[in-house]
Amino acid sequence: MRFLRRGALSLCVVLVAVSIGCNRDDSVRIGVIGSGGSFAAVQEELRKGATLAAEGLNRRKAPGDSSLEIEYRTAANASELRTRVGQLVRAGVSAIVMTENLVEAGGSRDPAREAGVPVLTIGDSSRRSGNKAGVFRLGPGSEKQAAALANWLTATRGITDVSIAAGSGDAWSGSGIGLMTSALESKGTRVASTVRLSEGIDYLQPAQALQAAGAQAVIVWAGPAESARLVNAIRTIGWDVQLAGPGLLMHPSFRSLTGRNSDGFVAAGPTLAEEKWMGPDLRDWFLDYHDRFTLLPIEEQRTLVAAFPLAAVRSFDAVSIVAEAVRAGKSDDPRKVGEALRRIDAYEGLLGKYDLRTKGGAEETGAPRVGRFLNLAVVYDVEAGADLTRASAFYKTQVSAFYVPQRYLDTAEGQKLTERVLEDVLTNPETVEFFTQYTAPRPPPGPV
Amino acid sequence: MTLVLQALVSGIGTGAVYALIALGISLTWMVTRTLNFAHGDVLMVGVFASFVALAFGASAVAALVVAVAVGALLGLALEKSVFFPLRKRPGSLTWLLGVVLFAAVLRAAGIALFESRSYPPPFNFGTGGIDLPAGAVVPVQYLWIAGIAIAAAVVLDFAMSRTHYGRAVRAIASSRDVAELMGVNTERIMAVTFAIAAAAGTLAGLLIAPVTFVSASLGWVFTLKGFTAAVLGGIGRIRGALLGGILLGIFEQGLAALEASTGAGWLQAGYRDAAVFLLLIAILVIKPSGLSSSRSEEARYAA
Repeated sequence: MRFLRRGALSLCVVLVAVSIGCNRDDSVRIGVIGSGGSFAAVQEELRKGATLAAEGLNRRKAPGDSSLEIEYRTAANASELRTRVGQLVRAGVSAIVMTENLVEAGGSRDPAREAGVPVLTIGDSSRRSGNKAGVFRLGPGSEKQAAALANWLTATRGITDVSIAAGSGDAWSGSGIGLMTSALESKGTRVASTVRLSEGIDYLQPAQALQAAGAQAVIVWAGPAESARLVNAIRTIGWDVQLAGPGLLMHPSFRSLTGRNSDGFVAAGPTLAEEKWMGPDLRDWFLDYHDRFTLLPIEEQRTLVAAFPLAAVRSFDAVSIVAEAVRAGKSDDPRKVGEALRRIDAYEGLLGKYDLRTKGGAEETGAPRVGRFLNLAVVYDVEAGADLTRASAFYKTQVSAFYVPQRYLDTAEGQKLTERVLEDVLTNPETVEFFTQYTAPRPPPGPV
Repeated sequence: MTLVLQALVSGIGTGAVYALIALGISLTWMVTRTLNFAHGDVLMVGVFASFVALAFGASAVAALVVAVAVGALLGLALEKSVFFPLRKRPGSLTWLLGVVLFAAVLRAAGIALFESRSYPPPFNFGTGGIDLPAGAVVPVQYLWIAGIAIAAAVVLDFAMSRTHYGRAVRAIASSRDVAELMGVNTERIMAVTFAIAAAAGTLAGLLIAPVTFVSASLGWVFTLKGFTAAVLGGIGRIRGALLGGILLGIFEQGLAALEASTGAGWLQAGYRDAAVFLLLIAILVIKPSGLSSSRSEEARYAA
């Protein structure tokens, strides 16, 4: 009996010592959550970008004596997202980086807000939150994207009837109909029809229903895979209509799944500083990314256009910004990190300058840009007053394999792809145009 | 009119895929009297195997063969690891746990290796479509799917009635013990049957990939649809699987047409699936043996 009591006492002492030891861990933890549903395509990119940032900062000892640790979680739906946020809060993270905040994901209770843990969203966020609520947007929100699309369709393209197709996966895709309807009606544009996609196998019927409404353009507001299925179905029924969608469809998987059907698709992209895109900083970053995770051209397409991991760049910036806030606030306490984030006014990130002082976060500093896809590359030439010389240069940079690391092109696979593409250029007149010519869009409201 | 005609075309196209999957589920049912809930996940691994083969420089035909072979081998592995060890305990539900775990491991491995996103199809069996009156379209893809599903059903039906293998499967389906007493190598027949079932499923996955794309999480959806189609047509019957698959496809697409004609998605994915399962329950209550007649199939095989 006495032996048992001693044993139990010793065990307690050991457990207390271990728990004290754990609590004295001096690492700074940043939570990262990759969402499922519409955002499944960017899930892994979020982790990779955050990991790359943490590794780089730790090498440079940027957060000071502490080391940065990424606590990565995935969430398939809104309820899981809430659970993961709660887990990260309990794990003592200083901030959470995720694609969308809980309010947007359809939740009412937000454990991060309750605990004062700041959240940095790299995807979308509604106006219902802002930096005062501890949510910092690093990209333009859905409303701004909807407004940019409506403005382009109406003012630049001269379109008067638009149909909207929204995905079924989550609250974000479901919000597309309301957001786009408000944005279009405020411009005096008629919403010809709306379709809520169902996760069926065949999308020909929604495509035909949209066609029957007689719209001049279709907004596709869903994740890359669901959007690609509808776009392919629309082109299969032979309907040559203007297609457009939110910035999420800038993700390379959308172009990978639609192939040449993506030509002419217009997306309201994140605010981009063009000089950044064509500059050496981003290219060096892509090389680092390639060394760590491999960066390839867009999958299953005969192209040397790189699959830009835009979400990875954004999460890299997000983690770097949190590290900067920890440094400036001299604390990894979430509330102090939140206060320090609110004071950040000109953080020079990979994608531009971030000013988090404004109500809604960085997006307030710039409007989304509207671009189109051409030969699987992105061209910013469709807006009124667009700089066609710069757009042309940006297009040519992309199709010239500028972003695909030479180390990949030197591999057997890379060489094979290059040979195939070069063979296409030499033998197929259509692909000669791909690499050599750039055609500015016809004046509105001409056909796509 | 367009939507009705398109519902019929799309129903036959998607239904043919369900039929190919149901064929596999029916075959494994015949030799084990259990349901293979890992069928969809096995076929997804087969489809992903074609990506790996293509990445290693295999031609399209070689990659297709590799995919079907990997699917078949995995079917074999499933039989050897889960169903064969439990053959002597038909009343036990351990097989259910085993097969669900097998499926979960495949799915988790798929997500770990290929992430949660969708991939473009490894092969395109033709693009574009054939225009029908009233604006409906027959995608070239669907012609391939329907053709291959019907051919597979015809070949399997012939094999069941005219070959030693078919007679052995029917004997096992009737009574494994009696089949063994009659000299049937039940072990080998079960292994071959699982391999054929998985190969047919992989073929279905490859055929539908240009429409649904490829993702590690699609397996479970295919299992559910294939299971519904098999029960609808009468589980354990080849023609029943074909009939069940096509009927399920047309029913689903009919609902989609109804939804598309009314506009804003009152019948969303979950409800559409619920409607399909309500239909299944109704069939099970009204005609538990499925819509196709078991007597006519047995008489045909006996002849």
